[in-house]
Amino acid sequence: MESAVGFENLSCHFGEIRAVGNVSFEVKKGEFFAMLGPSGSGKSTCLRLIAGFQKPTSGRIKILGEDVALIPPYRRKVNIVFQDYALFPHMNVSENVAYGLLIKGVSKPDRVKAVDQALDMVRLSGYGRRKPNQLSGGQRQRVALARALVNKPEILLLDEPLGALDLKLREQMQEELKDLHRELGITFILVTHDQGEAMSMADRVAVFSEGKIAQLGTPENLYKYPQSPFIASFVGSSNVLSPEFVDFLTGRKRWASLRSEAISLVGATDESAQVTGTILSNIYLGSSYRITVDAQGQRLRVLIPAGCLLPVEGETVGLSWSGSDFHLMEDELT
Amino acid sequence: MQSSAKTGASIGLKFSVLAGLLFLHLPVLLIFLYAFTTEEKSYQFPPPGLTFKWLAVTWGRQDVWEALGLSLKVASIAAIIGVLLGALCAAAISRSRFFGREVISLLVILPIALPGIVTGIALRSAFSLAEIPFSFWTIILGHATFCVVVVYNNAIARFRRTHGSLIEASMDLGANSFQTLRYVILPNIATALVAGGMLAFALSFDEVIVTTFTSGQQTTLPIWMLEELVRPRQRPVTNVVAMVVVLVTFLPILGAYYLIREDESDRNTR
Amino acid sequence: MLALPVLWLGVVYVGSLLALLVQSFFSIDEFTGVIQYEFTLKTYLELLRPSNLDIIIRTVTMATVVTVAAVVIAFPIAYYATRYARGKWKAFFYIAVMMPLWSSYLVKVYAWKLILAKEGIINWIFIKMHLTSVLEFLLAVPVIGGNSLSVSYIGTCLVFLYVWLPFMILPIQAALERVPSNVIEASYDLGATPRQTFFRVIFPLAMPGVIAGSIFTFSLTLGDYIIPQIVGSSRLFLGQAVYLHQGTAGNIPLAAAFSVVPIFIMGCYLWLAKRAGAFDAI
Repeated sequence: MESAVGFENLSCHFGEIRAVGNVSFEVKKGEFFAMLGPSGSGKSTCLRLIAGFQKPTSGRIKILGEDVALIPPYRRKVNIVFQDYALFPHMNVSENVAYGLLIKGVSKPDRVKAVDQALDMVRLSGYGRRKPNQLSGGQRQRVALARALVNKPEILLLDEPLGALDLKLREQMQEELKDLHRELGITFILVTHDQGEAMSMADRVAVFSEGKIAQLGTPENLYKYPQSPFIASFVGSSNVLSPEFVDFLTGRKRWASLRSEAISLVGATDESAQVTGTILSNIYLGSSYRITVDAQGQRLRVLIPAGCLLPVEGETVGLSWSGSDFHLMEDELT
Repeated sequence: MQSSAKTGASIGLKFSVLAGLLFLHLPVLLIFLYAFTTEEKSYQFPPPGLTFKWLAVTWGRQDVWEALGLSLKVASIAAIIGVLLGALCAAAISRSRFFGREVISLLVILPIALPGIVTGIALRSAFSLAEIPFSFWTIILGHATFCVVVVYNNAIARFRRTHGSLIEASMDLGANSFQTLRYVILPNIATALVAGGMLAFALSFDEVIVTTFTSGQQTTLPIWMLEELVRPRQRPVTNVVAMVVVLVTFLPILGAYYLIREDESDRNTR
Repeated sequence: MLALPVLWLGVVYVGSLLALLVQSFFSIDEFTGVIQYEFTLKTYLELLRPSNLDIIIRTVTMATVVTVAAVVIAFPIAYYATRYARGKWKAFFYIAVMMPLWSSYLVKVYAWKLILAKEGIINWIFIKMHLTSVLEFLLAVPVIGGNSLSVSYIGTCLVFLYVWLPFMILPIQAALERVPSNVIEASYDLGATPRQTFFRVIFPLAMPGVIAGSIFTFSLTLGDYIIPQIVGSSRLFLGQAVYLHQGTAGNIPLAAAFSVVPIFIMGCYLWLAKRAGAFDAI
């Protein structure tokens, strides 16, 4: 598959501070790629590097196979949806969406047609004459999307596009974005700090930490086989098992992860129990209970379906799991 | 607006900025040169020679001292009135949502939006209609109108930043109105008021347009200078007085700047 | 608590303005010079006399020229201070604009009297650069020229421009500070060059600042009577007309009618600016 964006040994410093340190990765054409990480992890800087708002300190960026070091933002074939939308406050919705076409010198009738289409696509037909400050957050988000997509970019960059929306709207927009990606078939690059968003929408996810990529893979891969305690705790609801505890279980002093739903509770003396522990708390989550167990000083969270027999606090129970769910991390002690 | 992709300012922009700044500053600097010229009859450049003689001559001039004294007195009193009324006005307008609030906030802006001569002639005709004779206090009355505006503008910005909840918190913790004013409101707006007062002082010390309409026979320093400008009699003395005026207004302006700046940085670290 | 300042501003200021407005509807008996306290529009009609109309047109033209020139000089300074100046330089720019704004008006005018005088620095520079002919050519231009710079409209305009320039820089700078950086980036991202971005995004968004600044420069020029008296030809400006009529001529009604002119012009200007949508982006 062709490459849409490629980073080669890229570093970016702001004075003394290193925002991105020696990062290499490739985004494939037509892929929905997510850059996930806590704030300050360098993911937004990477997006700004692709858009051209930031210049790398060293290394190379290729867009569609072409080195873009000397190409200013306004000549790059990418468009971005900004975190707070960055709509032009002095233009109405139509003018905002038409801006890119106007700059390119597209004739007025063609512009009107394209703008209508774009607004239609984001279900905002009839809103053309409104000013940005007359729209709700979700509507602004759609305008920003239409304004970028009307230019038919090869690559669409999304900088925390759903961050400012409330939960319900966010879930709805996630589906719409996913549908749009399927329809258009272009490359989407999403920056987010919300692991649920990245995991549910993206084909592949790069998890950033301290200016580096901690792990890159499909959501399933990240979820099941985290390579470090950081990934395990950031990406999912996995239990991160300390080297001491893993040593006690297996005799190997390494970090490991174990998903909450892969653990089942058995009797303390049951022979399938790999370890015993004391129940600390149980919390009702609707469809399931989250039970916290203390085993040999290691806290474990266990998810069991509602309706099962519920242990009480202080009770001693056995914990059991299948060997394939127990994942030893590649990282040696960090 | 930080973005490392921008490639610095173009030569053209830098040049026009430099030219603009020179245009703003060189003329006043020239005053300092002329204060020491030996030339008495004309504005010859370059000065044929330099001397300290005119400093001494000006020092001995009774009329200059009187004008300076009057100006300092007027500016101090007008600034104090400005601080008191401007602060009250700002407090009232920022806190309450009473009927006519918009009208009042427009009212306070009028004296700067309208040309000074309108204020001046309006006051003068009001005095003559009310048969108030011109005096020290009519000058103060004229100056206070714009001093209030200056202080108001400084204070209102601060009030908007001080949250209403701060006052509610103080009340909730048992402070009465006076204690809230003393311990919560004043510490929060004090620097804005002092800065506003300094600017008001500088403005009043220098005011000439409104003063000509409200001063009658009295001579403030700007009026003295205006007479010299229209009918030059003692050019060297005027040069020295002009230099002194620059120096006297320089300090409060710089002081006000540092006071305003300090809270800006306060606000950023908050 | 509110009563005191409101009373002060309300009674003293608005009272005076109203008194002025009322006076403009009185007239003066041309033979006796006594004010007749009867409602009439006669005084306003007098404004339309060719000589008075000339004064108004001359002043408005000057105010327009000064305002346009102030925008041209102020914008680069404000733009640079916002977009490029950082840290210490930012403080420097702030002081560099604040100082001339607050420093003495009369001293500034006086400085220009020194500069523009026939024996002054400008002439000296032109002589040293062997460009005297350029200056003479400039002064020979009808209307704006004159015997020397200090008695020409060029001189008057320069002084106005100098004295009001900070009033233009500060509002533009304030408006530019409020332009979010991501809006500028959005424009680049959508393919606009820096030049296109400036004219389509930055300048329109700075427009409220330009309007605010022009309200100052326009209004201040309309009302000033000192600068044209000290530097310029003997032809009158609006402020001087007001001053003369209320003073030596003792024609308070006409002076009042004259001072209603700038109020009226400013009102029209604000209304037009609002209609043109200059404040929409705020």
